[in-house]
Amino acid sequence: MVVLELVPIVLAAIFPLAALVIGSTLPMGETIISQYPSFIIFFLAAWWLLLWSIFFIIWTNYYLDILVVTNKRIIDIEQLGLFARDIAEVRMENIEDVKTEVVGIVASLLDMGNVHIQTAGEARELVVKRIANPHKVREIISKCHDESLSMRR
Amino acid sequence: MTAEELNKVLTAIALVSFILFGVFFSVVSAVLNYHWKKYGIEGERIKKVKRLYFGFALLMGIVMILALIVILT
Repeated sequence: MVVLELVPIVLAAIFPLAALVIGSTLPMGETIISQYPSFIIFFLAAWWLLLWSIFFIIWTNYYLDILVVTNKRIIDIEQLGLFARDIAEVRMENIEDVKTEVVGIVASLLDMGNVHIQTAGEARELVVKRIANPHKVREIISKCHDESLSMRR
Repeated sequence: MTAEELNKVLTAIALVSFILFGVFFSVVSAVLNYHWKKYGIEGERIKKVKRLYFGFALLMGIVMILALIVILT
């Protein structure tokens, strides 16, 4: 899903180049380009630097979303922007049910979806949103859950 | 507006935006670097990302400075 969030950034990066190409075909555009080439290069570099920073802010936001599954607990770390971080923890013995949800054509094609972990605890449900390979994640959680139960017996 | 006046306005805009971009980029880079250092779990991957991020930024910075020098002279 992060790919979809990055599409506008790529389009915004291409846009000034397309505008320059189209502008150069017009008589007035050609005059402006030939009169102010340094300004155009300066603002183009500045624009790309700005987009580059935004691109990495979005990527970092995605990259720092981490799901840790062990045979004792599940820890879901969600980066909610640059200055907000949400950490949820569920103990394996509290898990009652795990289900996956893949909705839409894009999500199906990219194999992305949500994993719902229902618990007996106070929070009742932990939702890991927009995760890659949700079915595989569910299988791993179920396997770890079984291991946890067999260890307790 | 004459061509000379327009040139002066554009030069002023370029100078101000260079300073603003410098401040913005420094702050964003410091915050991103802090996050990568503190929360990143794959050391090698983070190193590559840092190289990519700062490499392209340096290139764009050099282009901006050179263009600004040409504008001011």
